Amino acid sequence: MLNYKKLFAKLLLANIFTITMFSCANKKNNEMVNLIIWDYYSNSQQVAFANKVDEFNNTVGKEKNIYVEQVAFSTSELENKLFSSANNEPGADAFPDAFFAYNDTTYALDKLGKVASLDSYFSKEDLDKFEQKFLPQSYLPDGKLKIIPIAKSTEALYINKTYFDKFVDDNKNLNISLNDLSTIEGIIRVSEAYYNYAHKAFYGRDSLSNYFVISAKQLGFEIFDYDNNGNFYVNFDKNLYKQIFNNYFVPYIKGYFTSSGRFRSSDLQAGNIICYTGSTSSGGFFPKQVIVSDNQKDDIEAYVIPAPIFTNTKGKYAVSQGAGMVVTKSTKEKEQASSEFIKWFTKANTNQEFALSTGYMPVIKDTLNEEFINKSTGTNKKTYEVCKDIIDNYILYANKSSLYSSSIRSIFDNELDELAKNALEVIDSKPESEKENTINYYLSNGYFEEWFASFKQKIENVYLG
Amino acid sequence: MKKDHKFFNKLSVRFILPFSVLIISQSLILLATICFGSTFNSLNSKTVETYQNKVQLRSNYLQYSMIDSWSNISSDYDFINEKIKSFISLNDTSIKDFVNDKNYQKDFLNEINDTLYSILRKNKVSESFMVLKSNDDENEGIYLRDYNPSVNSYKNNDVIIEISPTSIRNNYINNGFDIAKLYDTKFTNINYLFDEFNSNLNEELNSSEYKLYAYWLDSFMFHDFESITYIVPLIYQNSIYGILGTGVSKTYLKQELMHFRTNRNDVQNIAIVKKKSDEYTLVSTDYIENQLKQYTLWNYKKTKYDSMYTLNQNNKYWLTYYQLSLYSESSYRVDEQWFVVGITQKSKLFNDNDYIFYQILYAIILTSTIIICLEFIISIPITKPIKKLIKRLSSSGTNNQKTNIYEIDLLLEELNAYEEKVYEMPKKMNQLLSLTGLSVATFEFDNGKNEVLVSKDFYKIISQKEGASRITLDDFRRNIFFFSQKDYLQINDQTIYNNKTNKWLKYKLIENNKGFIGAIYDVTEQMNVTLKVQFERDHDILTGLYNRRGFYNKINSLDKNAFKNSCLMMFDIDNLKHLNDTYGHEAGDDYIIGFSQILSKIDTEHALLCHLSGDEFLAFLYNYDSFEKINEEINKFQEYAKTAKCNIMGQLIPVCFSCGIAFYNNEFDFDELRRKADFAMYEIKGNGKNGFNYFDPLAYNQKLINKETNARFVSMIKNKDIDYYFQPIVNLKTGEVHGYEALMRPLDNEFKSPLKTIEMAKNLNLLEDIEHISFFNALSKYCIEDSDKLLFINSLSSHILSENEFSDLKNDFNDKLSKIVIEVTEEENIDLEKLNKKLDYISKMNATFAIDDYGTGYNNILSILKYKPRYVKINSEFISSIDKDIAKQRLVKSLISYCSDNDILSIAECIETKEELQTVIKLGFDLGQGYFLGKPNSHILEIDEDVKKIIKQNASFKNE
Repeated sequence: MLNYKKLFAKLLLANIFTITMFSCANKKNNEMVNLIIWDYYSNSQQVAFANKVDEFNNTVGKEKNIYVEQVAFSTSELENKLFSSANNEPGADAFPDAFFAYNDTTYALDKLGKVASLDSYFSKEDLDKFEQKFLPQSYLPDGKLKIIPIAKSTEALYINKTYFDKFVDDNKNLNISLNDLSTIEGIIRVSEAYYNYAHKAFYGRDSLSNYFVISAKQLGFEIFDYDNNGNFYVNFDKNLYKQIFNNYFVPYIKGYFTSSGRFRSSDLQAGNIICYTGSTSSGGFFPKQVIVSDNQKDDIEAYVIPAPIFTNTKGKYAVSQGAGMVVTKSTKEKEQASSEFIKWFTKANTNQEFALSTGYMPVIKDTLNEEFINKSTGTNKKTYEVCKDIIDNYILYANKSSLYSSSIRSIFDNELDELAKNALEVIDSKPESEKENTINYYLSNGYFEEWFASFKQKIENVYLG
Repeated sequence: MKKDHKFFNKLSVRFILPFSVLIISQSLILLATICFGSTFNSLNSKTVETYQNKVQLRSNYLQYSMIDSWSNISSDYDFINEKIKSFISLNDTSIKDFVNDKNYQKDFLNEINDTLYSILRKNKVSESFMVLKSNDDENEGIYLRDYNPSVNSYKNNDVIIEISPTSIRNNYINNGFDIAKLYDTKFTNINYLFDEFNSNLNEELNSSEYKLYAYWLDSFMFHDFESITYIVPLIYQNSIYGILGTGVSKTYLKQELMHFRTNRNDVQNIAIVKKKSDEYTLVSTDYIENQLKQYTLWNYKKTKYDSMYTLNQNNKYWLTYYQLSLYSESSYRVDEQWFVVGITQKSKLFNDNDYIFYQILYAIILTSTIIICLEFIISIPITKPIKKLIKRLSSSGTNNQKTNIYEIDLLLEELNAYEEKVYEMPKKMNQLLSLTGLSVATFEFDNGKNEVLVSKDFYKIISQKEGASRITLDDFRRNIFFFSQKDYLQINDQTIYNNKTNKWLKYKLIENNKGFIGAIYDVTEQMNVTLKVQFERDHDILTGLYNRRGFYNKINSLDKNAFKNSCLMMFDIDNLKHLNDTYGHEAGDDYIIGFSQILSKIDTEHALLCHLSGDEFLAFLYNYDSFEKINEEINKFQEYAKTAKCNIMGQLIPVCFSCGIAFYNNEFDFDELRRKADFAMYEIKGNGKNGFNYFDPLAYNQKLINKETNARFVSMIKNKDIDYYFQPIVNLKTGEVHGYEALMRPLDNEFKSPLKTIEMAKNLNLLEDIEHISFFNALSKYCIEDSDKLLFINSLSSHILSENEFSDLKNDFNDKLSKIVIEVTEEENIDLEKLNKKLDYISKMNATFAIDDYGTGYNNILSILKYKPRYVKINSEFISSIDKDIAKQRLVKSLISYCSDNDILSIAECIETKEELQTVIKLGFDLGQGYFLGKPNSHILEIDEDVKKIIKQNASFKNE
């Protein structure tokens, strides 16, 4: 005889099972997870990223029902947009599902509860595949995995070797060589000689914030730090700032250094400078020609070496930069889908292809190898060789992240250039007779003290309120 | 009992089924209403409309962007025109000087460089440029780019300088602009933009009507980036001095269109298509589905929805389009049309509707299932007590427990009453049975219980001690039932004899899938009667020996092995008639009885004795180990019989008899054995002797053969039971069949060989019949086969057809006679007269004459000369292995040459191998016959194509 209770229970279970299957199947068949990713790539790098996204959508995405849309902004825009969206400011776009960001931004957004912890989506095996030197920046101070490196860069010195050689040839008595360019002090020495020779600036620098941060580290300071109570503070060692000041502002007003436009590559192309410290990801932008005037176009050869460091550096520290991908805290499906995209994007081959098309370093272990480097050409190839040297022989460093570091860094970025440009304007405006006095004023310790006090105030206003 | 019920008779099923049918019908009606009603049709129409609206939204957006934003440069145009006007008047030059002087142009660019920047920002375009006309292929100008016009950087560092004079570049750099990787100071190879206007516009240009000349360029490649660009001619003093351009990169365009996507059901694929005259260009695409790229969008046909089309190449894709109005009626580009096309997979378009349909379908199925389940539960309170009841009934019979279902309880009461009645029945039945004096016992076995239930009388009937009424099946078989007990003798399937008690029992079993039920009863009395009757039927009353019927029954029931070493003795006692006549029948009876007693001395365990009739007796000795043992027994009996006497009316008189003995031989049946014994007995009796005579097969066969074979042969001949087969005679030049030889095939297997048949016919003086049959049978069959080829008939040289036969032949086969070739074998003592007569007939019949078996010895060259045959068949002895025997070849060659000289066709007989055939052809035979060419067959057959090919090849080879 049948057991009716059991039979009924079975029938009911079977029903529930079919309902679930049915609805799940429906969901799976129809519901595509749409991801919006904000990136900060521009120009050809943005095209490269868009192509990769297309590739994902047409392959793995199609399979797993994930569709990724990418929206590009410039670095600073991206940051502004992220914060206005995160704060639900009027007119702001919906917060993306994943985005590219630096530690500082991530830290701030994390405090707003916008960042997903990726520890559960990335296993130890997943992470072991990455170049371990890039990983420390993936963790926020809370020890959670929040940023996945996608493409990294550091800084290198880009040199217009054609012009430099001519300068060296014309000034054999000075015994100048490329080796002199490996230290900041050396750069200043050569700049002075060049200025005397050509009456033009020799050197420029992208990202003054990197200059502050890496200079501090090289000179033995952690520029952003936390005290024993966990309170954030900026290191204001006067001696440190004196060196930072003396090695940029001073040569700038002397005419040895200069900056105009967004990137120093433009200055180099216009023939305004001979070399610059810039991101290794900008290797592709190193011009092939210097166009001094409408009628003078000189073909030039590039030369790349690691960014100059202080002679009395505490160690071979190099900047570690390049935003990683951050996943927004949302539903499990979206977080999962975003992680799927990131995993696909950081597969050794995909990552190498993307890196190659953008000039960034690949982030997977042993992928910055000879075979990879040989696939690149021109300045990029030279850059990758330098990158490999830096990865192998330098200590990669990024400042500690905090709620304020991002704002402070943007102050760093503009401070010295603006200060110098203003000073130069003042000097220019003076009659010839007063010029020397004015210059001496800017070079005096008094001016430094004056600036340091106001600068310190400016920074402290940011984090002490 | 449960299993006997059909599924549909179950209470639960009867209860649930109608309801289920009801529910399912209702669901189906609901479903049909949804499917065939207008619900989904209108839903689908709405879906299409919604989709079209979405595409239109993009179209509107694009229209707005292109006209009101991207190409909105009228104020800038006016500003530039003002500038050029004042610039030229200030410098006191003409526009021609302006075109010729590049420094002059640079100065002008210096004045308007802000305008290009402001266009870039204001119009939200990704490029703005100005090219000034020049007389060589280098043009002064400015090209600014912003990769992402949707956002502007306050520092202007998103603006990239692609082209500008260095002075302006330096200025731009100071404003934060970036220098492009491919930066250059001037345009090169850009003059084609001017050519566009030169080729189209001949008349004088009016500066204020620039909009009529301006146009959208669907693909403008500049420094590795592709854009759609609005090209405006800069006109002053009725001539073009430059071009102003704004545009958006295709990457940006794609991104802009993409922003409209809101969810998974939104328009997924958008394309912009340009149509000029009948030429289509795909301007831009935003495809999610890559595979769309392989299809041509302007190759479509209508669907049932308005403004909705399907791709000819793949009807899974549906599209709709909206035209952008970019040019005014008076524009030179009015023939150019731009469309925004939305493409989607049909399945995706109606995805939601399908989803709704499936949801409804599922809801229906789900509710139906749940309701049916509920019915099931509802039926439980009814079916459960009943099932319980059934279980109780089947295990322990009825009882008084109630189900609390009124009707069922009522039924149960009735059942109780009925059961009591039923319970009484067997008692009554037993009483009734015992009244009839039949002792019957019953037993029952149920597979499920592994228990045999036996009735009270069971043990009594099988003469066993009283035992339990329930016993296991094994006990039933092993200990109680009698199948394996030696006390019992199973007579047949259902009858058993008990040696110990001399009881006969019969049982009946009815087996079914549940087990078996059976009855066993005592049939001793009936059996005794039957056995007595049987004995009397099979035995001779006088002697007590088997009678003929009994004897044969017994013989037939014997096992085959019993015959292995056996013999039959046939006795015939002498003088019985004399005794009967002289002393009366009593004496005769005594004599018979006396002999039977003597006969009984034979070991009856191995012998069957039979009083066949009056003075005839049979003794069948069987089942001996060997024939020697039988002989011993016979000798023993012989010794005894010599001195044995029988008592006839008080006198002891020796017995005289004849005995024939035949040993059983496997080949013969029992009747044959009897005939043999009979033969042996009569042989000795015929000799007038008494005693024993062993069967002599030689004498027996002699007698049989002469008699039977001859009779059979004669009957065959008289019945004309001779068939004729046809063997082809083949032309060795062409490979075609020349004719067929009719070959005798007697139908009786014993006389299969034609030669033997002739021999026997000769002995029995039947050759005339053979000759007759040869002609008539062969011809009859030949007529049936209906061939136009020649028929070769063998005729006996010593016999000719009679006049009557000849006229019959003419009557029956007149039209065929000319086709006949009569073969005659010359014999040793030939009757020349007859042969001549035969030749005479042949000529009368218009038939042809052939000499057969030429070379056998009787034939010689002379005979050929004498009879002038048309054919000569060379004897098989010459042909056999002729390919290996040069001597034969020489001899045959001379024969053939003789034949051909005399216009006689030579036939090679018995060609059996390919080599023989090739040799025979080589030697020049005209015709050939043999197994290799074709075996005799009941029907006329063509020869094998392969053989034909061989003949043709060899014949042609020979000719060459």
